[in-house]
Amino acid sequence: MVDNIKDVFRVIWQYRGSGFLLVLYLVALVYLFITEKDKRNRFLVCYLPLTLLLIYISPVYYRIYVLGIDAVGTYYRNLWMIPIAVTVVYAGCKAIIAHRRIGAVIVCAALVLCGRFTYTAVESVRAENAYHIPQYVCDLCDMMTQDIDGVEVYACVPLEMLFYARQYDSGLCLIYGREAVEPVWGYYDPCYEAYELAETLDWDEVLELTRSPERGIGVVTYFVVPEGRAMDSDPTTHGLTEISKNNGYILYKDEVAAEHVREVLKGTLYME
Amino acid sequence: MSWSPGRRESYNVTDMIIFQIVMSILILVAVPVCMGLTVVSGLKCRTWPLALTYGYLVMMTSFELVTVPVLLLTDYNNFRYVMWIYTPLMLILSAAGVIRACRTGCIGEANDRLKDELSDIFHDREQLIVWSVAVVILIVTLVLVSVRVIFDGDDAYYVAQSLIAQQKGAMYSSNPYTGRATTIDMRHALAVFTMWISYVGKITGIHTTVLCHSVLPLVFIPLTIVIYGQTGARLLKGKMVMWGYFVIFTEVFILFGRVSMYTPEAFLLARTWQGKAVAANILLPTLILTYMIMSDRLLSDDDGGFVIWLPMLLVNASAGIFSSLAVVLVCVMTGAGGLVISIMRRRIRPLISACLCCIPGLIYMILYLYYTYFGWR
Repeated sequence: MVDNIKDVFRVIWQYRGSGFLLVLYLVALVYLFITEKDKRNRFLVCYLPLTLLLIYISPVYYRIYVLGIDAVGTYYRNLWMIPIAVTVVYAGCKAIIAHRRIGAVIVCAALVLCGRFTYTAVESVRAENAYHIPQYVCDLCDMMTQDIDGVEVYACVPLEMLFYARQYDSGLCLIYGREAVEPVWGYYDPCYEAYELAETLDWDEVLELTRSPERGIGVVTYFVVPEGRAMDSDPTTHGLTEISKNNGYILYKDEVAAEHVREVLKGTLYME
Repeated sequence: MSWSPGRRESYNVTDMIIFQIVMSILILVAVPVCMGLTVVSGLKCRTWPLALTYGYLVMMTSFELVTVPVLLLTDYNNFRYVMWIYTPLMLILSAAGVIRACRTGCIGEANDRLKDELSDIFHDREQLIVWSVAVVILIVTLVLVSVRVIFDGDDAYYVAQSLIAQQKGAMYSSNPYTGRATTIDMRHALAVFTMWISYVGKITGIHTTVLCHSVLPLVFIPLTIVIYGQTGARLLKGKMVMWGYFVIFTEVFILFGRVSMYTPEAFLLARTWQGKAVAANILLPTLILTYMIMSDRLLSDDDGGFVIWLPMLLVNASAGIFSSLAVVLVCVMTGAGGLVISIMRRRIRPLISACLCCIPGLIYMILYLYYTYFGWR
């Protein structure tokens, strides 16, 4: 029981983050409990949030949630039930009603100082296009998906492209995806290990995995390699052709795999 | 076919963009408003913002009711069935809303109210300045959302899932991370908000990634402000001079609300297009707004019976499309509200009504547990 309560408060502590908005909320809640006379408003900004807060910190609800609904990692989402913004803003409006102009400046200053600006330079970057995907990813994907209309192309891309490639074109498939790179998910992928994690890229090892006949048309046709990546040999000596070299990435096409795909699709509507 | 720069298309790009803008306005503003008129016609307070808010809930509920059976009963390439069934249903619901609004005089009332509110603003210098500041902050927020990107790894799942349905016509049948065929993941599959995005993408002809990252924030962020604003208008009844300030403070709160990556405000600006963000910033505030609208009657002696709870039933019914957790949160909030009202009035009926509103959530949870533990097919 004590551990459960500790967990609940740990979640609140993480939710609090670097600002003081929760402190502001508690101040607003107490202020409204004292000053709010309207029964409707008391219900909405005092009694209902307080009941939800009690449910949230209740070890019984915590146990039900963790055992039957979702993982501890998402327990913070229960705090979304509490109307923090509405309460703080309403309390602010109520407090400054007699001195609106100066009061508005003070409330805004309090919100700015207790909060944290969303678009700080560290966390956000400039959008390069309407997709909000780095332009070099779009360019590389365009080059990779022009082979055979309607046929999915498999590619091996570096970690920084992994999250974006299939948001641009679902016709581009990846030999390993997000599961392989999230350590907490505990998923092992030999291709990821050989292509991304290995200090020196061993083409024999990689191509043995990617050209495996068991993969059918799922053999990897394209490889995106960051310029300067340590490699044991020149990829062109393994049947790969350099397609482009742009924005710090080299795009190779595996002609052996491409021929294999054409062979598998021979006589089908795709080739006609 | 969706538009993507860098590819040669046979049609004129300018015409295509105009078509996309017009279709976006129709499906993201006009259709929800028409659908919402059905609900608002039955309320005392009939306003356009309320029609838009409830219209989205009607849209989400009807889409869920069409898509989930299609998903569970059909196989590959099944997104076309959603297109075939939902499009006429959407048009019928929109037409029904307009017809009901015309019969009840809702449109005239909503127009009068809007005119009154605008005239109050334009005839008072202070109000004009305050509302102008509110509009400027909103525009700044929307510009920031459009030109700045905050990376989120979950997009690799949600956005890719929508894109697969749009480009391949298949729902949840391939792994969005790699593209390999897979079985349905029930944890996410019943929350078909990603499919709603695909649907909008198909209708408007906009690539779903562009839709998610550049179009939906321009709709959902103002919608959030509208919902908060409506709540504020009711909280500040009799002190309407503060309404504009309420909106300004809400906008500042949202813009500076990313104290951690867990807050609804952080989700709103960084992941606007994900079901959980919409649940946190549109669905749950709408539930609060609904309680606010209902509280006049609920806290009086004549509580009007269960009819008064119908908007709350709608809120509960729409929760499943956003996320499975949204269903739980909405049920808890509805139940807690019913409990508090029951205690305040010393009557059990509000609690019973609140529990009845949770029935759609209960059905959703049974379906979820059944498919999770006994498998799909």
